Amino acid sequence: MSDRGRVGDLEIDQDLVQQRRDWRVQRIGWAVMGLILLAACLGLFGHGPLSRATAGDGGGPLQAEYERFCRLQTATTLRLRIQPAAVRDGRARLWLDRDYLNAVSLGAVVPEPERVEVGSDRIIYEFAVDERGEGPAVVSFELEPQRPGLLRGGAGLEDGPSIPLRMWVHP
Amino acid sequence: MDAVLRGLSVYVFLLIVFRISGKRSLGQVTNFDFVLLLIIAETTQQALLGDDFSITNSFILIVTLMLVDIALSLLKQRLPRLDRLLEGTPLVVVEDGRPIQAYLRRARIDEEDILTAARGTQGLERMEQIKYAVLERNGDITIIPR
Repeated sequence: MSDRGRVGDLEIDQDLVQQRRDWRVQRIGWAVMGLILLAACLGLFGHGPLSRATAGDGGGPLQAEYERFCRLQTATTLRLRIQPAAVRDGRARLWLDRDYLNAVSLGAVVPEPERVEVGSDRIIYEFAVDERGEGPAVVSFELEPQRPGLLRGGAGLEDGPSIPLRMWVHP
Repeated sequence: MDAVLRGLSVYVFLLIVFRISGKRSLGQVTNFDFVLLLIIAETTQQALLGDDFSITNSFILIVTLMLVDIALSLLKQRLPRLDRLLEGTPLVVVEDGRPIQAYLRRARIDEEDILTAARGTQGLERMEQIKYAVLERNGDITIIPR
């Protein structure tokens, strides 16, 4: 190129306008990296206070605790609390959305259910519950989301209302 | 498809992060910078491969990365503006033996870095023997003696 710039005797492509813009963008970039780090510490990418989510009203028979933000193919736990009022004949019957279960790979269920029933749009898990206890019975599902993006689902007691689960899966 | 997307996103992400961290970061690679690079490579590897350790997956990834690199170099050749945007521009930091402090500060180098380059590449002893020092696009400091 013949229109190459010069600085003194140097034939050089120095461009101070672009250089200053570069520096500015770099400074902004550093700030953005700092914000990403802060967001990560707060749990925007999972594992932190912002990520903790609960569903189901406190007085109701069933509550869910899960991570609002989770990551693709990384284990996360869905914890369901069954209040004593929801237990009949030492049995609690819970269901999870089939669509929801299709989008995750289900690992261990703790404790292991007594029975699993397959319905058309839901899968029902039946647990034996010791009715002598005062507090809720807690069941954990270990999940690994298999699709990035918004993951909606529902859980509930067999005849109870559906508790909405909304998770965002980071790629 | 998955592997190609992984490769592409990691490529773009690293390109942006390295561009943002500036020339200083990798121009003068210290021992520690080298270790840092190894750690970054190790961290990236997991995200790139996912849970697929097949040779096919690694082939797809390598082809993806190489092709993106080639495509980008072709684009940069066609579009000088893109080239400048991605690679930056050289900067004259010493003129006639006088360091330009404002540029040194913003480019995060100091006079000692320049003298080191002057000694190493030209065998110069003092700042006044330098006619020009240029912070090149790749982060090297080049020296033109008087």
